[in-house]
Amino acid sequence: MIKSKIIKLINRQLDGELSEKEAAQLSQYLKQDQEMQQFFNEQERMISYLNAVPEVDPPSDLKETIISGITEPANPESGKNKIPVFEIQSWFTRNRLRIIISHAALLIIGFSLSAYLIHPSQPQRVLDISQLSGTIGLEQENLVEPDFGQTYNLKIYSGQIDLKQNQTQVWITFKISPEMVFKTQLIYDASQLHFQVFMPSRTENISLQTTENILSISASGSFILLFKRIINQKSEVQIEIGNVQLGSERFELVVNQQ
Amino acid sequence: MIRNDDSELVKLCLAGDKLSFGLLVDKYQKPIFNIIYRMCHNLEDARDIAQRVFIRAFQRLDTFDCNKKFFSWLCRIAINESLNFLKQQKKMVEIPVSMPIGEKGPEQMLDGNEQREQMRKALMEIESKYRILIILKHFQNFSYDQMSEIMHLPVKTIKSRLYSARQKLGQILVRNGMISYD
Repeated sequence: MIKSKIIKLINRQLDGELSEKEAAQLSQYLKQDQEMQQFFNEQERMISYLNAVPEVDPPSDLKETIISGITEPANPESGKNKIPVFEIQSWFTRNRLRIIISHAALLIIGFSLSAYLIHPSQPQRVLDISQLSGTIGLEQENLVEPDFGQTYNLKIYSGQIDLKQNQTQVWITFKISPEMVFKTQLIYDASQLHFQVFMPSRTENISLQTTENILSISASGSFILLFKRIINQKSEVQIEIGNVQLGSERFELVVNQQ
Repeated sequence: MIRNDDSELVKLCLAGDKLSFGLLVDKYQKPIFNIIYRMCHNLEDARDIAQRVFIRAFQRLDTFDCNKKFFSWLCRIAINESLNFLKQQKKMVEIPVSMPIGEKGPEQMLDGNEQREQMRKALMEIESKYRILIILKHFQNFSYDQMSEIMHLPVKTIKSRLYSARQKLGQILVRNGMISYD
């Protein structure tokens, strides 16, 4: 079989499109051709790396800036369109320094707030969730004298949260250090619960229970101490609903220097 | 009432209900931001482009065919805006493959994994016409039919171009030592 055909078969195999018969045929070819076997391995490994790349969160105020960008009419003279035509407010795109300053200010405010429980009745920018209640806590296990390469467990427990929204998102954030931030997203949408895990290669257990508008959460995660930089830094676990931080708990990893 | 049908939201928006557009932003800002970020690999640029994409979409909502998928239409705008940005910046071959000192990408912040940084560099080395297909297939998990709809190209062309893209990316990863045969 000519190589281009084998390459096509390899690609179809990587996309999960081969029948059992075709897959067996490919396997036979690969046994006889070391170069093609190497190519297959290379492609397979590359795809596994690609699949392991996590999603990136958009800036929390992206929606706000989009909506604010469509408030002013761009061409008031034009009345031909069925819909109003709006001007793009390019302030953000033009003035990067101001963006940086505003981001820095937001970060400072965010960090200051994260040390405390934010009262749930604070204004919410995205989701209309009212009457949040409950307590967030953190059970620490094996956090004394941690060592590199070891796995440590964190357990979060919470009380109950009243949901007044058909769909909402709950984020559990493990801020082990500035270099290690894991986010676990739980999505609740009235009829079903599902969660998406942003802690690749790590284990966690999340349980959610709902009765009417009550969502109960308990979650645990583990992490492996990988970086020397994180020793003796204050770490934090946060629970957020939408943009509202419901609770956070700080803990400290103390390592005996070797 | 749960208003989750995109065409319905577009119609409401065209009728002057701007809140409906907010719902569409809620629904699609993350995947759109991710596509753009993977194309330009700069958080600030991705933010600006994503903002522009949604505003452009809002301005052109009357051109959207409600029989088609809104997300595919939005993706097309995002891809066009990203490609335009890259052309304007004339960074097609000059995009810095490493971030300025002190600036960390979200992947580095996640766990500082060298592997992801290498993948990021390698992706930026391949042409944007190939990169976008890797992004759609492997980061956004689109089917070939969806990719064909978004890219306005036949499935056959998409497949053959993606195969080339993967081959090029693989070669770069081997050359950079990310993939070895030990």
